[in-house]
Amino acid sequence: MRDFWVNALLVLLLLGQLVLLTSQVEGDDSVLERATLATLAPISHWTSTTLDRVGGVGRSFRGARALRVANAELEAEVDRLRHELVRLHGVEEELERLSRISGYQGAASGEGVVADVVFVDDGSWLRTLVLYAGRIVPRRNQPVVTPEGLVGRVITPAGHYSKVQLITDSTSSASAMIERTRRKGLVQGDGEGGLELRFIPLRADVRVGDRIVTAGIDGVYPRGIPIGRVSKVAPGGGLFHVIELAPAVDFGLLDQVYVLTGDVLPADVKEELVDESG
Amino acid sequence: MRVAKLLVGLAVSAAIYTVGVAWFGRLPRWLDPFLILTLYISLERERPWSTISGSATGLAFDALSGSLYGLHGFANTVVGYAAATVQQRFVIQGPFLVGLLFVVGAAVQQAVVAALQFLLVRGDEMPDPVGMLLTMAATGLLGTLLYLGTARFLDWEQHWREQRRRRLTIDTR
Repeated sequence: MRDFWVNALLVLLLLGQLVLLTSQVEGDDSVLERATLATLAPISHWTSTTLDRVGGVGRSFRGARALRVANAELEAEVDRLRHELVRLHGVEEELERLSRISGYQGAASGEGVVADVVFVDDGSWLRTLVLYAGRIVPRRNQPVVTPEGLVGRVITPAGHYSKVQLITDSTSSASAMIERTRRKGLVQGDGEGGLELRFIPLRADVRVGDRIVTAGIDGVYPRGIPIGRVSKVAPGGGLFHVIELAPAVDFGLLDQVYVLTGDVLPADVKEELVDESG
Repeated sequence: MRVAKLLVGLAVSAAIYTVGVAWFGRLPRWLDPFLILTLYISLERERPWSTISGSATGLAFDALSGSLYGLHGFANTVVGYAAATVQQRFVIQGPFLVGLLFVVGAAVQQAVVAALQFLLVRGDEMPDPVGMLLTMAATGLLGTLLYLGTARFLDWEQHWREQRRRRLTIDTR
C-alpha cells in the first residue's frame, strides 16, 4: 500500500514537471520559477558580493603604483569625456531645435535604471545572467544594456531580481542594421559567445569592421544600441552572406548594467497588435 | 528537521553554484551541487522524501541557471526516487559503493536530461560524451568526499557526546 502512494507521488511530480516544461517550450515563464528565483537569487547575490569584497581586499594590497598610473589615465579619460559631453549637448540642442521646426517626433527609449549583475551563466544550455535592480521591478522583455552596447532582455522577472537572456544565446534574436548602409537584418546568437548577422543579401555592401546596431523594428529593442562589429564576411550557399560579429559587450566583465524602462511601442499600438494576432 | 536540512542544503548549493559560475564559468556543466545534494539525501533511504527533495533541488537549479524550468526538476526527481529505492533494496554503505551510487546517479540524470532535450526542444543536438563523463566523475568524487566528511563528523560528534557524558557522570558521583 505504501509503495502505491510513493509511486503515485513520483508520477504526480513527474507529470507536474512535464507540464512546466511544455509551457516553457512555448516561451512563457511560470509563477513557480519566478518564486524559486526570487528565493534563491538573494543567496547568490550575497555570495557574489562577498566574493567581490574578498577579491577587492586582495587587489588593494597589490600595486599602489599601478593604481596611481590607472588613476592618471582615468582622469585624462574623464577630461576627454567632459569635452565630448559639452559637444554632444550642443548637438542635442540643435537636433531638438530642428525637430521642433520640422515637427518630427523621435521614438522614446525611456530611462535606463542601473542594476547589479549577480552572476553570468554562460555554461548552461541557455546563456543568461541574473541581475538585481533595487530601484525598480523589471518587466519581461525590457532591454538590458551597458554603455558599450546590448546585453539582452529580461525573460523571467522575480521581484527586484531578474533572469536576462543574453544576445549570444542561440535562441536569442534582435532586428539589426548595418549603421553605415542602414541595411537591415537579424542578429542571432550562436550559443558559443558569438553573434551572426543573417538575411543580408549577397549583393549588399557589408565589410569587416562595420558597426551593427539595433534597428528598432522588433518591438523589444529601441533603435541605435550597438550590438557589435562585423568580424568575418563570407558568401553563403544561398542568397545571403554568412556574417560573424564580435559583440560590443564583453560578457566576462559585466558588473553593472542598465535596464531600459521605456516602451519601444506605445501602449495603444501594442494592444492593437495583440488584438490582431488573436 | 529534514525540511531545515533541505533548505540549508539548497542555500549552500546555491552559494556553491554562484562561486562556480563566477570563478570557473563553465563549471555548472560538469559539477551540479544540487544533484549531489539529491543523492546525499537519498542515502537516508526515505523514498518519498528523496523524491520530493529531487524535485526541489532540480527546480532550484533550473531557476538559477539557463535551463528550461522543470528539466533538471524532472531528472532529479527520477534520480532521487531511483537512488532511494536502490538504497532500500541493497543497503549501500562504504565509500566505494556510495561513490558508485553518485556516479550512476549522475549518469541517470544526464541521460534523462539529454532525452528530454531531444524530445522537447533540440532534436538535432547530441549530448557531449566527454562532458557527461566529467559530470559523472566529479559527482562521484565530491559525493564520496561529502559522505566521508559527514561520517567522520558524526563519529567525532558521537565520541564527543560520550566523553561529555562520562565527565558529567564522574562529576556527579
